[in-house]
Amino acid sequence: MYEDELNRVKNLLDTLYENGCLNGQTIILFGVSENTRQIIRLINSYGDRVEWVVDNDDSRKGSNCYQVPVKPVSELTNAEIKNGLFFIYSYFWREMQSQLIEMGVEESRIYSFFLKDRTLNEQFDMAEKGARICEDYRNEIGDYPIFLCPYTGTGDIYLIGTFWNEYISRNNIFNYIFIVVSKACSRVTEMFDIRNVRQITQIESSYVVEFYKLCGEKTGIKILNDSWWELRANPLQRFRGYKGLYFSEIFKKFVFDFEDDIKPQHPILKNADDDLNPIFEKYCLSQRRTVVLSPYSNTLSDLAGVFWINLVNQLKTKGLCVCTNCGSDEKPIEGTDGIFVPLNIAPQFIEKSGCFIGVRSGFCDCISAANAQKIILYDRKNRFFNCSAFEYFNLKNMGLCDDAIEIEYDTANTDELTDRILSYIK
Amino acid sequence: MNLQTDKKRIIQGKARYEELVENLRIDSKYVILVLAGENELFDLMALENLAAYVRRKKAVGAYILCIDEKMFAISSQKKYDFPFIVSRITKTDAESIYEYYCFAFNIENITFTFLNHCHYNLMGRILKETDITEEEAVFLGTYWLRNIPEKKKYV
Repeated sequence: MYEDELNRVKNLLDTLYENGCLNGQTIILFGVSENTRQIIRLINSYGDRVEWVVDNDDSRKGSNCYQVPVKPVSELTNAEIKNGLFFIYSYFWREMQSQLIEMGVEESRIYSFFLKDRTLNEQFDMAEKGARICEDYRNEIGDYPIFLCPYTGTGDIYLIGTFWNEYISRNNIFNYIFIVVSKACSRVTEMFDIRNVRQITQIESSYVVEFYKLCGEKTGIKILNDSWWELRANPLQRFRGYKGLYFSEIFKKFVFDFEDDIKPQHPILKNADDDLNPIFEKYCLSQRRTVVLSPYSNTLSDLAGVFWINLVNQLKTKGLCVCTNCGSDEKPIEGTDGIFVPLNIAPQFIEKSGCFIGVRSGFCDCISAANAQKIILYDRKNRFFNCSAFEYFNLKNMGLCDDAIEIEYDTANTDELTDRILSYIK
Repeated sequence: MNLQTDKKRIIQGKARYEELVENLRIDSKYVILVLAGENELFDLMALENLAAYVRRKKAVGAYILCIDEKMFAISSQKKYDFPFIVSRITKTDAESIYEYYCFAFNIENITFTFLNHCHYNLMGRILKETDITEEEAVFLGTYWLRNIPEKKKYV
């Protein structure tokens, strides 16, 4: 969800909260997605709790979405149908809303937040703004091709970075303008030799996308994404994970147009001791005897807090220091300090620490080259379009590293997961 | 860059779409399938699996619009358990409406079997460069169905 869109949803939720509409309600969100995760965070901030996330994909049953349990829509109880307060944020909101109403949910108890359809004139206006953004950058830097990364996924930027030199070399691109939509993504570009990086807001990214949609290839814009939702005529995302079309394969074949099986190239890691030593001192971390936990993911399932708390305690009994890798709006696991390290030195931080344990996220791509023990966790039930999250995103198949321990876990058996993790830790 | 020519192109597409809806008296509870005539097997698979699309969209029927004569004849012989109407559409109109569809957000319940029209439509490349079959492509890509029935999976 874009920042301005998130603010719009927040304003709507604020109104409901202030009017007492959320008090004592059984809150249920429909559809596992990044948008749903964002709404859960907002609702949590009011001190309220989301009871369930329901989804039409039965294979998601038993997984978690931002630590809220997921179950099939068909398993809604009569009491939940009658008394639940439902929130939907999805492109398919009309069908989802109809489905709930058919099941007996009163329409007044369904809040569909999806962004209102843009009118044609609004889209034309956005395209004009996108044209101006591109013109301004070209006036500043030069009349070069523009590469837009519209998704805030740091893993995407890292993957792009690993292929970048090869791509520009094969296509005789000597200069360019590279646009990202977050500071974190910008930090990832600093790991590679990516030049002329400019950061815009997500809504500005939409302007550029509308310009590209309207005027096509003469804009000199290339969208660097494995399938961007605003490009509705590109069906690629619907084939994600089908017949071997995994994350890296889609990027190589359809974004970079590589015909051969090219290997990703990690950046050379610069010495970052000047930045890291003060952190280690401040938080009393021990070199090569520190475990960095990464419990959050924007895209994939995560694990309940109690699992992490238990793991922290077990790791500490082994004499290890434990900390949580935290973004600005994320809480550290209880019993640990939250540490924010800029992404451009994240691999060095993990190397210095010695051990990383985290749910699969973009952060895992960024630290994949680190010479450290890396334990990456995938919810076995987490589906990503046509395959499991593990199949789509595992680092080994992506060619990013072959020394990570990548574990698929069952949420019903996290004790076994804990034991397995601990068996790898010296 | 002057965007006026491109805007006019999209506005024309919108006008053609609205004219089509009015001329055929298209009911919003019906889906519209436009058979582009670029790949006969692809079009046949779209016809073969149209019922799944109608069900997913919770529609009550379908309009099948054909660019070429052969698909018009085949479509007219189809049997479905929902009401459907088959009609002809010119290539110019179909492409124009498709361009409007690709750009706009507020046009629903219509799908096309174009494979290469529109600068970011990768369906043609998907069929050419992977071993995804036409039927699988229709299921996942054109009709956006969640999965392919077991009996139809091509291993």
